[in-house]
Amino acid sequence: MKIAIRAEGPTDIGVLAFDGSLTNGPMLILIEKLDCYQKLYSELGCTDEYNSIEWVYIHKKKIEDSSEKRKQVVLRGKKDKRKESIDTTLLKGFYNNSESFAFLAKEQDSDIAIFFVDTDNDVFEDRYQQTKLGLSKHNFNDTGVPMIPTKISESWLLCCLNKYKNCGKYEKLTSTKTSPQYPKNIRKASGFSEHEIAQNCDPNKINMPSFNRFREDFKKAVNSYIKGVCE
Amino acid sequence: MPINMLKRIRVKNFKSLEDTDINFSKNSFLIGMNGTGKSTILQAIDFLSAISLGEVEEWLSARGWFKKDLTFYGNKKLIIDIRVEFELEGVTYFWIILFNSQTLKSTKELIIKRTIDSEDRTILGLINGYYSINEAKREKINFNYKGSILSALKSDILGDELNSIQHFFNEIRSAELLSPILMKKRAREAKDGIGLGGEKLSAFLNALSRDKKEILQKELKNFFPHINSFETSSLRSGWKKLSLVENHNNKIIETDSMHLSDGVLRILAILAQLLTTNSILIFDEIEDGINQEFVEKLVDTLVESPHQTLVATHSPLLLNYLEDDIARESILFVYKTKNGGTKVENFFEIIEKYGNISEHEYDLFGAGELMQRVNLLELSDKLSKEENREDSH
Repeated sequence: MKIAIRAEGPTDIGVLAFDGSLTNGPMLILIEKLDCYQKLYSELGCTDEYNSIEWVYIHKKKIEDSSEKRKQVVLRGKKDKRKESIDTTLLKGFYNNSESFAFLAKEQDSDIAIFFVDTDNDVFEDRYQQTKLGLSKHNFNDTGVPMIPTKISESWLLCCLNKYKNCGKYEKLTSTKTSPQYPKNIRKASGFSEHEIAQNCDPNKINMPSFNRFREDFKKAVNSYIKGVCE
Repeated sequence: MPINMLKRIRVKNFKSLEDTDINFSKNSFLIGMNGTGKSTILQAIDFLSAISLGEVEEWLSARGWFKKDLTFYGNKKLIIDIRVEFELEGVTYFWIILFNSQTLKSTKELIIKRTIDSEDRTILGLINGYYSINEAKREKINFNYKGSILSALKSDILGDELNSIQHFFNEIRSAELLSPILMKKRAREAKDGIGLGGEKLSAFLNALSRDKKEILQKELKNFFPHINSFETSSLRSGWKKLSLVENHNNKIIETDSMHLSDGVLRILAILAQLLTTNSILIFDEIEDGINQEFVEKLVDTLVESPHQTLVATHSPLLLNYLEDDIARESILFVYKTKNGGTKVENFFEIIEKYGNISEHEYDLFGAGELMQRVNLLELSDKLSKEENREDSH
């Protein structure tokens, strides 16, 4: 089976090697450790030698390019101004990006589509809904999974680092990148790399709203692909 | 001042309009798959004019139709039932006609005036061979007429109100068959406008007053800056010749209509229609032969015109040049039920229900793009299934 995932780089989903293989980034490491992923893995009869789960890696640049091209395929009309005006946000927004991502994921016959992106600010619900909508445009309904850490993926890693205690607070850290309380800066100060933290983490123990939402949606997606695997 | 207009029509047993209910706005754009009945709707509105004028036979022969073509797939039922709601000078009226497609005249007619403070008033009644005006004494009908009885009664008998109602329906003009071949023809006279197919264009233009000619020249120049003017001249024998004078690099070129581009003639014909005092103007596939650069002007011209217009179109581009608020009320989706009857729904209401269009798409896209995002064939299918379900209940 194929799972498409939106990726930004080595510190989240990972990078593609020259031979097309994927070097797992910390977020992908967490996904592969989820109980539900493991159940799917054994249900499909995967082993170390034979893994039938294929990650379809779709880089954000590719999505933006595709989005750009697709928005040019519009008819002339009274809304021509949208190309230079505030309407542009609609074209660049989460809806449009996730819709383009879903389009590319469908093109490569993906069974599940995970749209990974940082919240960066406090509009989780809004971004979540827009992403869901974008994914559903290409029939990723239950199989479309928003993966949206609040504030950024490091918030989830900080939960691992601190033995899963009171993790809700990591979602409330500052968004100011220069502040020592910015999640990335706290992680740096800990002396551990993203990979190290992820490798030593049990994501099934993470309890924080944005991660719980992702874990539930992922479960729903797997169950919709093979009924009852993750009950 | 509200413009005089047709608000709603319900037709039973006219061609594919087995039982069809349509709400119109100031501009109405009919869209839908081929063969669903868009043109039939336009014909039905034009038919109202023929009934009101009492010229049903002429209307049939102009189209090459027979009486039996009038009813739903040659239905044995002869009566065509038409109910019209319209507004004149801000007052709402209803005209109910039962029209016999064999004798080509109304067998029952009512014109009802809706008044705000008192009861509805019947200002014209025709029942069982008697007629009555303004609820006065019934008069026996001992004369012949075709179409509506309005056409047979003298204007002093009808009175101002019924006269202006009849005038409103008489003045519906259809240019639904605008054809390049016909428009290029020379014509003798055009007392009833440019004709269904534009065949009297040259005579119509020739008869325009100087003022109107000037306005038309200006509007035409607005579309085609290199066109200086159009000229009409009377030939011996009364035929009118039409030609356009163009300016290319200060060189004046006059071209006879015989050799003019179809699109230029079409735009000229449409603009000429819009200059008239006619009440409702009807155009079928208005975008035919018109370059995309002119579509916006054409749409703006229709929207700004003081006429109510009724247009059938297949062009997403044309719809894309409608402002959102106008598009929402004016685009009508035409489809057919399982038994072949034509139905009409407001396009935006329907896609909100079945189209799976997100809020973002409504913000982002024009009506034409939305039309392209919806599969009209599937939409027709869903609607006709829904219709079937309602029928079986």
